Amino acid sequence: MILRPTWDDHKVVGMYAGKIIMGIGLLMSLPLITSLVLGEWDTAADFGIGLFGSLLVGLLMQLLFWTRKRLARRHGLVTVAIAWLLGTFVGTIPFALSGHYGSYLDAVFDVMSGLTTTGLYLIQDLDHVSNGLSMWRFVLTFAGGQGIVVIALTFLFKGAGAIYQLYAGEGKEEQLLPNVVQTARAIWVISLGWLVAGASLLSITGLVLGMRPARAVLHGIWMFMGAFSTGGFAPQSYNVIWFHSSVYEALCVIIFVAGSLNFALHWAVWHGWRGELLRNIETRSFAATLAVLSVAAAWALADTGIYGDWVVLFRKGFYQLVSAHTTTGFGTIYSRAFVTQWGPGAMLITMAAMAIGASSCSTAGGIKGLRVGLITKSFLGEVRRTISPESSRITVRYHHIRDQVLGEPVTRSVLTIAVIFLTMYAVVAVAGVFAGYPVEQAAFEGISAASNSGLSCGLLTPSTPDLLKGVYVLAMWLGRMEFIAVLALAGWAWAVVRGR
Amino acid sequence: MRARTRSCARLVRPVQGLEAVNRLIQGMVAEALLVVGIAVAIASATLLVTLVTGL
Repeated sequence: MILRPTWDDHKVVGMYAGKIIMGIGLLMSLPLITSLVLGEWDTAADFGIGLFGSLLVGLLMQLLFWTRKRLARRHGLVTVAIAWLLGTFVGTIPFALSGHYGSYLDAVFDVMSGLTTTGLYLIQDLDHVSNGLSMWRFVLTFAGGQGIVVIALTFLFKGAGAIYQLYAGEGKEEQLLPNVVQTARAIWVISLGWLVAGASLLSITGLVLGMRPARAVLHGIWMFMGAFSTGGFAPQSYNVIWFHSSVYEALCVIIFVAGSLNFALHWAVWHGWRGELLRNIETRSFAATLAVLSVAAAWALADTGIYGDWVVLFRKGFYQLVSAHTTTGFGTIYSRAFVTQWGPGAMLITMAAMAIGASSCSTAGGIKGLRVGLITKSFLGEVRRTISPESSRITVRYHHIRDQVLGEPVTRSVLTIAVIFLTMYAVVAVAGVFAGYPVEQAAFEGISAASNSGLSCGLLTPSTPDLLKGVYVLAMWLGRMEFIAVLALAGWAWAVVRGR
Repeated sequence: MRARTRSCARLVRPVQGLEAVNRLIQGMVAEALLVVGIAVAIASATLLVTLVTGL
């Protein structure tokens, strides 16, 4: 029997979602301050309206749904799914008012892309947007990378208990510290530490490249946010090519690979266990699949003969592959070059990298290296079982922060999520084909959206059919939530209709 | 849940002030070196591929 949620249950969800909406609203103060400092009055007015609107919505939700009832396990995931949806709509206000979007849907697309750290975009005339608007793009992607619930937990929540469900709803399951609020704050400490170091290095590099100081600093901060959140947004339409600098490229690679590592791994390394970097199943899985796919891409690209020597081949091939594998979406080739120069073979390899993705409990998307590593271990365990005597007992172990035994429930869980991801990739690719695009381009763009990667082969433009844009928005949301929170929301809706 | 708690307890080693900053920097350097190591390995493999394919 399905139990229908009571009005009190709805109130708990509404109240906590309201808190998270307020958190997103407060983030708008950063672009608002940027606009005011730089004298961009129109943009400042847009953000003033957005800030007021989101605080009003958040506050009204908290007043309307105020309850003493505590957040329980069944409320957490639904709250996260609703908060991400409503957060996307309130976050769209400044974009929609900016005049840089062809439609409200395009603006919603960019906010969802930013929050889910995807990096695909539909903004028009990107090279001439105001600094305030640019700041909002990067704040969205940086905040989305850490998790908007993590932000709310850091600044707006007290205590712990069932609040863990909110945290887990964003696809983060690792607790760095026994208290989930402390865990959220630890994630911010790690990210802010990297922000100071990474943005400083990028700013200095920008200055050396001849950029004006203010521009070098802003670009340094923005590129860091785009890289560490594995978001892929860049302040210029030419993305990383715009900088024409191998040093800038190399720094970005280090930052986005760091951003794609598990926060628990960062925490362990910070606390002196540097050996964890080499022992952890996720880093091993990432290094192995990246190496295999990079060599395969090098082979495919060498066959096409588009790059004259191995240095250029490595610089272009490795960069796109590592960007795809970490689901960042930064590129050092033009989008259409995937189709016109790389060809189907190298595109397929890039799709595989995007589909796998990087670490769990990081800013990255995709199936995740941990799951790929565990599936591989499970498969090898099965092979060992098959060739061993019947009386032998085979135990599969893996190392992730500590030595663990790979049990049946974990294997079933990772396989289920992997299969759902693969199904979603197929569905989104088919949607692109139905919209009239060639199969390899539809698959590339679809996997990019669903794995929150953001590399584009040039399919997505403001003139793309609205239905396909909608499918991509849904895929980005599902991929970032790793389905669970969205399925919980669907189950909640079903219980409202059919429950007793 | 017990296992998770034990894991967290193992992770908690209070570091504060300059020591925390120092460890954070050391951690970032270690992570950067990991990336450089992977890149060097893949660069070597790419060179090998170009030699084999005769680029």
